[in-house]
Amino acid sequence: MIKFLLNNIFSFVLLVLLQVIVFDHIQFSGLINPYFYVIFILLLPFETPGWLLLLSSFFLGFFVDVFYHTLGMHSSACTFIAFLRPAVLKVFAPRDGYEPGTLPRIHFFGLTWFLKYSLILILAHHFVLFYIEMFRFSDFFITFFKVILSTMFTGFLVVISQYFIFRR
Amino acid sequence: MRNLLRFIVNNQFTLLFLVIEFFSIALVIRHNNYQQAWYNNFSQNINGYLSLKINNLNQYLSLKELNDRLSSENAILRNQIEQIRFINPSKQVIINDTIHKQNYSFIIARIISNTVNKQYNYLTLDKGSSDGVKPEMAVISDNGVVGIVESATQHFTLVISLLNRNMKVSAKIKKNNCFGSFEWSGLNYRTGYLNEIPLHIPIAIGDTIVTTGFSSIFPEGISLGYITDFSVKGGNFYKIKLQISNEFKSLSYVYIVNNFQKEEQKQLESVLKHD
Repeated sequence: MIKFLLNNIFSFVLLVLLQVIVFDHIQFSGLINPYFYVIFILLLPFETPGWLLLLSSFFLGFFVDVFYHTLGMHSSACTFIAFLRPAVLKVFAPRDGYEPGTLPRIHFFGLTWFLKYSLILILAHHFVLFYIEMFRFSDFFITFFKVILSTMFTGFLVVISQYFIFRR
Repeated sequence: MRNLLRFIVNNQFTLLFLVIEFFSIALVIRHNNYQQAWYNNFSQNINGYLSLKINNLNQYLSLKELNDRLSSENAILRNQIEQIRFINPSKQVIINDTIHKQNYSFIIARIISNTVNKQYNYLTLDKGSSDGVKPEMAVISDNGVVGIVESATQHFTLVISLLNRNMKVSAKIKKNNCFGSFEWSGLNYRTGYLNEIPLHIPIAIGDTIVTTGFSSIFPEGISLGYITDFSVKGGNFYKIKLQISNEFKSLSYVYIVNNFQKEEQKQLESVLKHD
């Protein structure tokens, strides 16, 4: 249990640093900005209590915000997908529920399941984030295009990382 | 009470989400310039809209009084027309003369909020930049000076009231054209002072004080008030106490004055400041 907790705290810090040091510099023509750190929320275990899910997501977004000088934007997007996560998991649950000891990863549930689950949440996250960033609907379609492209790229990174880093 | 507690426990996930999300949005608005500007603009518009509605109601309730005042003003104007006709009937013909070009135009506006009880009073009008209002235009009513436009948004105008300690208006005594500066007393909304009138000028209680037109903001001869009291202040000047001619508490319609030659006058006078 302690080891599990430490593991998660470690990946929390690592993901925030990775985001602000590495992924911040991936910007193809201003349209694709991957926000890889959301993988933290995606990979939390099924049994995580609701309050912990919401609070840890909020602080994840908050720390990213602190580095980006955009206080509140990432935190609201992260809190939003933390709120959606239990409902999405319920929709995609296998017929007899999730077995204890499994985690929401490709290794346990296969690529198709994981793609459906992660893309919906990443899309929601990017949607909220980019529209809060713009805060107006006058450039609706260019922002939407950005959301779609970035979602695809972040999704790609999340899936790839499953085969290399978060294997189990 | 028990039901409420049960409700909170049952929906703790959603409630916690709402609390955190609300907090995050508050952070966004508080700490990001663009979003903050948007929010300020939004709340200002809501405010303007609400006070407009409340004012509409008040307006309706005081319609009778307003009617009386408008009809009396009408009567005065009608009298003036008759006098002009009598003196020179040929004035009815439109003359295309560039020297007699119109100097001022007036925009009618309604007051939607007004204070008289502070040291720095302001008014809000229901006309804005889309109606041609610009900063530094004069605002008058049929009884005299009201104030100067401070700033204008698209649909609303903020006016520095005559009842503002920062406000100074160039004024003169109507009968002998001696000019000084008018300023509000700050004590109540009916009294003001006229300063810088030298002692050798003959004045009397009841003399009318009007604007000078030197500042290019106010047209000449708009009424400011009447002398109610004066004393020698020591030195070379009178201390003159005035009754302000405008009844600020019952104002509802005003005219915004546009001076067509203001730019020209300003441009000419700006040469002086470069010395």
